[in-house]
Amino acid sequence: MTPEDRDLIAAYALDALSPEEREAAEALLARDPEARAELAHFLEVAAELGRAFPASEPPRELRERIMGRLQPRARPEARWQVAFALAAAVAVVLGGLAYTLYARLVGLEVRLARQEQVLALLASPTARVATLTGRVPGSVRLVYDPQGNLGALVVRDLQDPGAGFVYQLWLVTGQRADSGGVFRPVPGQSLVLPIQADFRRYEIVAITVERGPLGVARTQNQPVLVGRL
Amino acid sequence: MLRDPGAAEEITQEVFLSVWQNARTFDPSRGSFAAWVMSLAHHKAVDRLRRLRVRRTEAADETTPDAVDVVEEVVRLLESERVRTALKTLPLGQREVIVLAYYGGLTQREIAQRLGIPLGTVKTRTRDGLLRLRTILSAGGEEP
Repeated sequence: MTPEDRDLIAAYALDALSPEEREAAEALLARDPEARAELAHFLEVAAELGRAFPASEPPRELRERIMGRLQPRARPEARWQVAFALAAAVAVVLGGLAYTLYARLVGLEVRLARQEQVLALLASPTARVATLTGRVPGSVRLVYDPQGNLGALVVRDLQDPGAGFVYQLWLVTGQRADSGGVFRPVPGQSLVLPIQADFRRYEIVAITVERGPLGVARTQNQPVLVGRL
Repeated sequence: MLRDPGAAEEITQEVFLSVWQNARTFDPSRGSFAAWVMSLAHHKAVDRLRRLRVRRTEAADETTPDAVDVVEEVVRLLESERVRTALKTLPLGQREVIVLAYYGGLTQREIAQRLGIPLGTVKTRTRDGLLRLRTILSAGGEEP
């Protein structure tokens, strides 16, 4: 990498590039493993900066004080005010998510709560992703936290299993397969299924097609999708 | 719109969608999953901020009487003692460009304009500052 390349990667990690410069950085990252390694380090620093911001908006009077100082004839939506709200939002999304936002979302509809739960999971530094592949087209991933026993199956664009059938999720270790529940995909929508399990005990995640609506206790069928934990 | 308490939730939703839509672009060689999600969230927020800013460009007053004070104010706001201390350890020039970029959502070119320094200086300071932060933060141990 040239010194210019190194500067570009640093600015990329902080989102301080114009769209054209960002494209140049993406191209560099695509071809240069050294650049990717450098970015990995800088993104960890950036993530720490993000988590450092208060999970709620800063006190209004403080914000207004800063605003007034920045722009004596400040308009109600001057940029720093917006920046603060946004920075706070980022922190809510990432840092304070599990605590602050979760508490606020508890009363909301189940779908939202599920998404929030998964997002909290994603924000966890120990979260991992297993991508399932196999005989049927579709995007199926298991996001899980091996330390927190919490996971979620995220299903998109998966074909219908046929009338009277369901997909059934299995967590597999050795010869043993434990059911993780059944589901039917919703056309045109992502499906997020929270799953609680001790993921450390399993090596494989698999999906079979079974008779609906409840699935089976022990499957005789070959999996249509498989992923490694 | 963004001062609405719902803004954070709205961005949460956008980030959530974006994570799923981009999940296949997650590349472990570019860092941890958490850092990746964080960078998506930051990018969303900055993206929104810049779109708003473009609309307001003519009206906005571009002069910054006290950029240094604003940077210090932001640093004081930070909840993490560790990060606050780390940022304060940086030379002012490095602290300024990092805070304006990350928390202010400014591009390097905008930072150069605001601070009245050459673009090349902003670039060097950003990288040097990040390298230094990385050393300080990795040596600093756990959050109290």
